[in-house]
Amino acid sequence: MPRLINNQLVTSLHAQSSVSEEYRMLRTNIQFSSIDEPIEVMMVASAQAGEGRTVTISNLAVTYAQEGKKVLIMDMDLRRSSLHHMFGLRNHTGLTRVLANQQAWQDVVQETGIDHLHAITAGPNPPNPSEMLSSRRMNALLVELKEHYDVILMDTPPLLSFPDGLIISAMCDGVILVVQAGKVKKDVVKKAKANLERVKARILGVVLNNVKRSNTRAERGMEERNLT
Amino acid sequence: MQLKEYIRLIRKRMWLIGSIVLLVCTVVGIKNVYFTPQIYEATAKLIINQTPRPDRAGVVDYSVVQTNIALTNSYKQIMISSAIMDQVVASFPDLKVTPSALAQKLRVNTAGDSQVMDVTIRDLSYTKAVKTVNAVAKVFKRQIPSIMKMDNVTILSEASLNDPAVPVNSNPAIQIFIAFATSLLLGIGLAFLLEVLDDTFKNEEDIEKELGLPTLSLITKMKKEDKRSDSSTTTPKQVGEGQYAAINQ
Repeated sequence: MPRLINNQLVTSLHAQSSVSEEYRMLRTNIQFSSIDEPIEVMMVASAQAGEGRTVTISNLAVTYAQEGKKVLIMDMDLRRSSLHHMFGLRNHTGLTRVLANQQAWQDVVQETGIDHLHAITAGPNPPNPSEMLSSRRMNALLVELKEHYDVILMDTPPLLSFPDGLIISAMCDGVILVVQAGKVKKDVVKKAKANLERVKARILGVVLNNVKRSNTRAERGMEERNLT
Repeated sequence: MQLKEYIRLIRKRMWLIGSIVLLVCTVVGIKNVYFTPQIYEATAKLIINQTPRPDRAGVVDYSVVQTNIALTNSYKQIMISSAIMDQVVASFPDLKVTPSALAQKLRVNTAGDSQVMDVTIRDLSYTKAVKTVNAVAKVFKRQIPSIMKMDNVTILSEASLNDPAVPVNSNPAIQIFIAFATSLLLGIGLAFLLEVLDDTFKNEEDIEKELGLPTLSLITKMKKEDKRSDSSTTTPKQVGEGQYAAINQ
């Protein structure tokens, strides 16, 4: 199928690369962080825009799908949606249509071109994204989706800019905090973490993104492995 | 921080340190080689020695020597006085120098308790330095009899134009070396300062320490090789390959 897939989707395009290995490490560590109660609904959060939430969640979704799980990736960023760009999808229908009771969720789910991985894009921008996300319709939809998918991954707006991220965190089993290395001030991330804790979200851990290649131990380990 | 940490930090900012060192050394080098005038020095030696009385010829009289040494100090003052300076300027108009400027350029030294005086002139031109210092020596020898009422100054050696002219201000190589050492310290200091001022997360330790959260994964910056779609090995269609067996379905 001649689909246009974003070149940042390394786990799909370049499954053997060291960066793909790092995403698989992320998947494994999430699985190990909860043995007893499996985490089905997850979101990525970050303090500010541009820290790499969409890239992270998309690659994580692919690694889950590669494991054979039924995965749904949802664009919950109703303000500046971008998930459809990652998978080369169209955004004329999507979550907002379902929440506005215009379409059933089965009609807005799209194939991503990757086995076991489905996506729901954000849809047209609504005037009241926060209200939509905290609606009863949203909760009901999620309950229904959980029955059809093993893993549901959500892309969200930046935590410190909008309340949306905190609203979504209440629906999730776990939150993955993406921090861009060397760019975001510690205080900003601490504030985002405090916000999540205030709403009693379960933070699974941090993904340190855009780490410089030369000074990571993981990378050095990776190189050794590639040599053998 | 440990030594390893310091080394890592310096290596990280190697470019910064290197460019500071290079810049400072270049500026100092250019300044020294092209914009610092070279200064030359010429020295004449005078000896203060009374002509012995005819009856004591061939005998060194200790008290006379002591008197001469004592005189030498007065002579140093006399030499830079306007009495001598004005005469030099008047007698050698081709030097084109004012008495006060000349007095400033002139250095008179005695080597310990000796009867020998070193008269030194520094100038941008070696020829001019030699001419001036010889002029001062000659005028001084000529004027002393009328000032002190005794003729006891002899010119021991004049400065010579035949001597090799070596600039006396310090070597550009030494200047550049000093600049190198200073700028290296400066650069390293700046690197440490930047590190202290940088309050962003950079590694797992930062996250554990500041947030108390586990690091699930470090995602390295994607390089071009990672992004390039390599159709021969992996295409989207082949992604669900069997090597990722489902573990908990």
